[in-house]
Amino acid sequence: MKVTIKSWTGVATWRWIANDDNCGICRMPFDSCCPDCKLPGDDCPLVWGACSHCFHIHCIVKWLHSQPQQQCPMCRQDWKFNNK
Amino acid sequence: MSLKPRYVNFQETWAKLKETIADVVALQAIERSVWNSRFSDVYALCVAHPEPLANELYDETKKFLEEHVSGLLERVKGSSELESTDYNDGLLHRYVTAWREYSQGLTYLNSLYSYLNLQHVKRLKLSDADMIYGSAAVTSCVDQGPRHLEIGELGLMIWETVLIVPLAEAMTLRIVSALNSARDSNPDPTTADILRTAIQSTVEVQSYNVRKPMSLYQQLVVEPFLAAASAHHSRRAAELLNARDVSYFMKYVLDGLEREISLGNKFLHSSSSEAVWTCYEQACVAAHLPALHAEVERLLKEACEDSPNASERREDLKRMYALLKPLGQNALRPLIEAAHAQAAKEGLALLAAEHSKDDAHTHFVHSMLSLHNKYKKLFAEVFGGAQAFIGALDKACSEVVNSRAEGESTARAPELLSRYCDTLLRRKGSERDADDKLSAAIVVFKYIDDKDVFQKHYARALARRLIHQLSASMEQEEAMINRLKAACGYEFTNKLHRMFTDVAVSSDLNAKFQQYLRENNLATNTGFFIQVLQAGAWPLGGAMAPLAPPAQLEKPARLFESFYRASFSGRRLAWLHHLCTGELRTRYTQRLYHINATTPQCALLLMFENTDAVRAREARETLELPEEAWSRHVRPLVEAGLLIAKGDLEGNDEETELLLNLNFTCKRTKIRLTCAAAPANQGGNGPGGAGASSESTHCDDDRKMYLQAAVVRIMKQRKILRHTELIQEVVAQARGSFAPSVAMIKKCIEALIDKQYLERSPGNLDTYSYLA
Repeated sequence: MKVTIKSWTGVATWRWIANDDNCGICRMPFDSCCPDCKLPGDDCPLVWGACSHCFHIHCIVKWLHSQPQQQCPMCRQDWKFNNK
Repeated sequence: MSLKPRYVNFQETWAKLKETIADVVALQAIERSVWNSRFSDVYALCVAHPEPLANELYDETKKFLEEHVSGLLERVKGSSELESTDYNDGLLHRYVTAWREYSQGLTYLNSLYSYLNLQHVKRLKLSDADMIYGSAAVTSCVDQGPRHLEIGELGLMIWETVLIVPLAEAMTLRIVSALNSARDSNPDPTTADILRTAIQSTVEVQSYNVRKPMSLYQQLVVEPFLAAASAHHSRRAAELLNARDVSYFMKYVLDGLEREISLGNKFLHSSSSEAVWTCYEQACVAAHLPALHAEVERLLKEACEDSPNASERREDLKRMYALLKPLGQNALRPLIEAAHAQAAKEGLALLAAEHSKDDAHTHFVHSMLSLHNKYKKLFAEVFGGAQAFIGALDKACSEVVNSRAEGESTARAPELLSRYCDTLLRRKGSERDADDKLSAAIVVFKYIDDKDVFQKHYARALARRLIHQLSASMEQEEAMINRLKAACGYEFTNKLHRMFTDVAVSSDLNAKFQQYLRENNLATNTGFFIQVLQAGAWPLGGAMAPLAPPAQLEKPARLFESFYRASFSGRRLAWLHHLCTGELRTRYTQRLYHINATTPQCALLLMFENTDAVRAREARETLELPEEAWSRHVRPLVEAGLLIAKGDLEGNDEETELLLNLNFTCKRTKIRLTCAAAPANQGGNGPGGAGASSESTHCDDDRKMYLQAAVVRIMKQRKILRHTELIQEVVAQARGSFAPSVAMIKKCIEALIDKQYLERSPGNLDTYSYLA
């Protein structure tokens, strides 16, 4: 061995993997936060439903609270959190 | 004696009474029994049967007093020349003696007549409220009725009309000349006493006059005195200014002011001290303002230099400020302007002073701080830290800080200051020292107009420090961010805070990853540390170089990726290879070297495992590096002497070969290879040029967004707003982070009109209205 690696410091960035650019409820980009938050990222995460639609968690929770039936605002299927 | 009303012979009783009151006003001794019976007589007259004789008594008493005072007048006049100004000719003395006797007697007389005063006069008298708010019918209450005054007050009025009026001119002449000579030398106590009493009498004699209590005093004493004083002071001031320089003049004038005030306090009624003072200021200072203002610049200049008479000049300035301050803003303005100009001039000179280019940032910050401290101290000492001067200093500092050298489109201050902070935060050393210096840097920061530019520079430097772990201490970093937050608000440091959070989250993540490895019996083979950053929060430049990492590094990377995917759903990781660093140990050299290099550089070195020479082109293709990134990564290796390039590195030359330098030696065992900055991401040591201009367009875009957001915010709230007001509000909002140009705001408004956020109000072209 001419050269050995002692250690390695990696730097990586992360972003959301979403099927759309914007949140269907607040229309803000997923890279940004919902209108009630100040900082995007861990403080304002995204959630996916069983129907594969994706929203800011604050947006969908607010939506579900305001509705008699628990439906996805995009496809009207019953809303279930996808905990894969 | 009976209190019942009865018949009284007026003539008889009055004769007795007159005898007594003649004694009373002349302050002769009166027996108690006589006093008592006269007191009853007054009562008896007032309640006499069948007709009360109070009116007759009042009139007779008035007549008597008039006669008495005329007698006194002759006595006071004596043989003195009325037009004389000699205050020692005895007239004032006689006046004061007579006044003392008369006024004293009058108080006794007043009590002798107390029944008359109480019962008879009171009914005729108006209440105070009537006097002050009285209807038009009672405007001149003095002339209103013949018998409306109490006897004591009547006596005072008679004194005024019968004695003072004929003597008025004579008294004025003497009082004024006495006051004039009292200014230069203290009069002996008796003269002073006489003077004071004479002046006091003019106030007291009108004490019954509720409407204009001091008109006599004003007319008799104050006005002539002020006229004389003003003439005197003007003459003196003009003489002084001609004879000596301004310093001496100011000193004298200030002393004179003190003397004048004490003179006023000593002899005049307290109500006129302000008038005395104003008169003096007007005559001595206001009249010579141009002469004083002409010296301002020279004095300031000398006070700021390290010359031996600087302290003297400072005293001069202190005096000048004391003299000019009471005259208001207009008189002070030239002083303030000169202070501003002096500070700005010195600041620019300091900045322009010789310094080495590498130290530009230290030179800049230290010059600014020394300027600020010096003038702050000076202004506090000389001008008592008055708000106007602090303002002038602030203005001067911000001018200096934001000054541009010729040919520069933007001020360099933001960049220099952020470099200064960067150097301090990197340096390992005494913490207290760095803390103090960083706190001081905030002073300079506050003067920077382009705070948004500073923020960009600072954020990039912070990112470098955090990723490469260069910070001397995290506490210091955080304290600095908090200072910026205190100066500029939450919005400003928002991104910086997010970067901090990411670093904290990353260290958690590393711990969890290590645990995950242990639990699953996995190993990375090498030391491994990772920082997972949130895209968007870090100013890292978008370009992510694609790279095929070497096999040795791929394993930990894949392990981590799978760990990350399991822990966080819905997130995608992207490696920033140009920021990843590996630590290598060389074994082919005689000594053992630790090399710190970026991932592509590591990968390149690992290629020499089985060979000593690699074709440049092949290496590049294996690493999947684009041409531009390739030379950035390879160059440092060649420059450090680890590799030897044969042929042209840049071109696509087939024959270029890279050789491993087997005889590599270096003094240090730790070698740190840096990667030259990418053009889109201007590094700390990169020169200006292309990077700087892209930086400024980047900044311009941000500013436009900021301004548009501000306009929409304001319009949403106001609905309809005039152009000038809108501009004002936008400027006020933006001031925290930069100073916007009106042209830029106009462009933003145009853009918003195009996007139909706003419209010009129909028929009113300079007004905008908000379109919901």
